Amino acid sequence: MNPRVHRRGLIKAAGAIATTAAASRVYQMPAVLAQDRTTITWLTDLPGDIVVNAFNEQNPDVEVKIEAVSFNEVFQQNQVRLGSGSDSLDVISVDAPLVTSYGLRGWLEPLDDAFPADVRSQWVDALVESSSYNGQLLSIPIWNSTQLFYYNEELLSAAGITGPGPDERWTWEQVTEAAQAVTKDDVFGFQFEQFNRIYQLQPLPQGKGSQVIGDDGLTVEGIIDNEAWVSAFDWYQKLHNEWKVAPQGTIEPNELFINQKLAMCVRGPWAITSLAAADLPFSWKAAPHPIWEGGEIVVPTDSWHLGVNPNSKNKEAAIRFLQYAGGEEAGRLWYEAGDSWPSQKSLLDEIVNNPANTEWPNAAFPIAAAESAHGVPRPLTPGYNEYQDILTSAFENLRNGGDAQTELTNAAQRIEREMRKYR
Amino acid sequence: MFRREAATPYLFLIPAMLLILVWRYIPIIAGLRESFYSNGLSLTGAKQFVGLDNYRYLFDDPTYWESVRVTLKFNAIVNPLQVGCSLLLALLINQAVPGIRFFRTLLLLPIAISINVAAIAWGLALDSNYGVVNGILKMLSLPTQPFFRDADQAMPTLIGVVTWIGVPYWALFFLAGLQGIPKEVLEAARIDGASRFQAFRQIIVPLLSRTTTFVLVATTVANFTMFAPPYLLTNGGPSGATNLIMFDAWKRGFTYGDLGGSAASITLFLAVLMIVVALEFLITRPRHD
Repeated sequence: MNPRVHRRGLIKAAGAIATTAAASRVYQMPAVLAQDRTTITWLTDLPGDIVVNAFNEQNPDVEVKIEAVSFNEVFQQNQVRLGSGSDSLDVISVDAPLVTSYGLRGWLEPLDDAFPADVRSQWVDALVESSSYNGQLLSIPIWNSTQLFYYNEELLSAAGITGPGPDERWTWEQVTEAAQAVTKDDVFGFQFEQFNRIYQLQPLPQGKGSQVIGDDGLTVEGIIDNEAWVSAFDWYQKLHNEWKVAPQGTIEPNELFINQKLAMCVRGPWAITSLAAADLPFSWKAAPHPIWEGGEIVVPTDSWHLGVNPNSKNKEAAIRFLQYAGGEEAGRLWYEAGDSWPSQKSLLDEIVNNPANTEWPNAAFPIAAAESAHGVPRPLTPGYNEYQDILTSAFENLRNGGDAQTELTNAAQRIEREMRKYR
Repeated sequence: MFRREAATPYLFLIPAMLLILVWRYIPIIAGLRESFYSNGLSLTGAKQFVGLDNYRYLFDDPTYWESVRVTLKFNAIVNPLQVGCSLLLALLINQAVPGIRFFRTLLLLPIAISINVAAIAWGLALDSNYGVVNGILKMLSLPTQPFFRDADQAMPTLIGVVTWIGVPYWALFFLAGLQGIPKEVLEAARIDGASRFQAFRQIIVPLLSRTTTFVLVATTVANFTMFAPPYLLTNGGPSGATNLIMFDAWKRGFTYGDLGGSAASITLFLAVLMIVVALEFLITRPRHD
C-alpha cells in the first residue's frame, strides 16, 4: 500500500496539530507528517488495539490499521486473499499449526534476518519450533496458551464434592464422576471451551500415549483410529449422550459457566482475568489440567503468530510492527490487559515469581505458568486445515451420538485422501 | 439510416452483454481454466498444469459423490415443493376478499428478510438446547427434537427453512401470472358449468405455463446453487447429511486450499445444472405454441 496523500487529511492533520499545540504548549514538530506515514493493514480477530496504539505512538512514520473480522473469517480471508496473491494485507494472523501450510504455499515472508537467534531465544522453545518451516523462520509467536481446569465451587459443594486444590490434578475419571453428580435440570457438569476442535481435545488421545499424526506430518490411518483414540473419544461421546453431562448443539461454554449452568470446564489462562473482572455471584477456582488415571500429562499450547505477506508493498514497516508485537513490552501490555498469555520466557518467569500472585484469583496465574512446562503443540502438518476441519465434523458427529470407531475410521480415510496432495 | 436503426437494439444490448460477460462468462472460463491446474503447493506458490487430475481426484472421492447424492435429493424435493407451495400461496392471496391486501403483505413479508438473516433466525428458533420450537414442544409435553443435530432430521429441517424463505418470493411471480389471466375467460368457463378444479386444470394451469417454467427453472438454479443455509446452520453435517455441492466446493477451495478441485467440482456441477434446466424447459414447454 502506498503512503496516502489527501489534501483534506493534510488540512485536518494541520488543524489537529495546531489545536494540540495551543492546548498543551509543549508541542514539538513531529519528525514525520501524516502524509508521509506508511499505512499497513493487519487482519485479525484479536484485541490488538492496545499494542497497535502503543506501536503507532512510538512510530510516527508507520500506522498499523486493524481490519477486524471474526475468528472463523481470519482463516477464510487468509485463504482467499493470500491465495489470490493480493497485497491488501501486510500483517497476517496465523494460527500456529497453519504456519507449515502457509509456508508451503509461499504465503509467508521469511523473517530470519529480522529475528536472529538471540531474539528468538526470548520465546518459549515449542513456539519457535512451530514458527519455522524448511529451516526458515516464517512467523513470530505473539501469544502462548496453556489450559486450566475451572470449576464452580458452589455447584460442586451442593453435590457434596470438593474441587481440586491449586496443586491437585484431577483425573478425567474424577471429572466424569463429579459431572454426573452435579448435572441436573438445565445445569451441566462439564464441557471443553472449544468442544469440537482438536486444540483442546488432543490431550485425550495423547494422554493415553498416542500420537496425533505420523512423524511425516501426513499419516493418520492407524493413529487417529487406534485404540487410544477410540477409547478417548468413546468417553467424549458418552459425556454428551450416555451420561448427558456435557451440553450438545451450538453452545457458549463460557456463558454457561458464568450463568451457573456449567459446573466445570477447561479453558485457557485468559479466563482468569475475565472471570475475576466479571465479579461473579459465586466462587470459582482453577486447577491443573486433568489427566487419565495413570496417563501422561498433556496440556494444549500454541496460539497466534504474526507473519508478513510476501506480496506486501510495505514489508519493512510490517516487520517493524512484528518486532514490536513479539517483544516483551507488547507481551506485557496484552498480558496485563488480560487478553493473552505471554510467549516470552521472561514474562512467564515474572508471573511465577510475582508476590502479587499468591492470593486468589491471581494465584491461578502461576498454575497456568507451571502448566506451560507440559505444553504440546498441535500437529505440524501442511494439511492442518483439512485435518482440523474433518476432525471437527467427526467430533460434532460424536456429540450427536455417532460411534467413536466408525467416526474416527471415516475421518482417518478422509484425511488420508486430502493429505495425498502433499505427498 | 436503415443501418443505424437496425443497429440500435444491439447498442442498447451492449451494456447488459458486457456485464454478463464480465460477471458470468469470464468467471466461468476462469473457473474452467483453474480446474486444470494444481493447488499451487510449492514454495513459490506457482500453479502447475495437471490436465484432468482434479477431475480424476473428484471421481475417486466418496465425499464428492455423497455430496452429489445429497444435492440431487435436496433438489428433487425442494424444487417441486417450492413451486407447488408458491402456486398455492398465490392462488390463496389472489382471492378478492375484504382485507386481502393485509394478508398479502403478511404472507409476502419474508421476502424482505435476507436469506442469511432468515437462516440465522431459524437456526436460533430450532436450536436443540434453547430454541423456541423445542420450548413449545416441551410446554406441550412433547419430546424435544434435535433438528439440525440429527443426520435424519437435518435435511428435512433445511428443506423446511429454505422453503419458508423461498415460497413468498416465487409466489409473487405466480400472483402476477394469475392477475394476467383475463377474468372473462374464467367467467365463461364458470357459465359453461366448469367446476373450480376444472377451471384450474383446463385454464389456469395452461395459461400459467410460461410463469411455471420460469419459476421452476429459477428455483432450480437458486436451490442447486444454495450455499448460505448449510454454511450458517449445519456446516454440511451431521455426517455430511446437508453437504450440498456448493458448500462442498467452497470447502475444498477455501478451507482445504484446493482451488483446482473446487473449480473442477463447480465446472461439473454447471454442466449438470445446464442439463437439468434444459430438461425442465423441455418438459414444461407450452403445448399450445
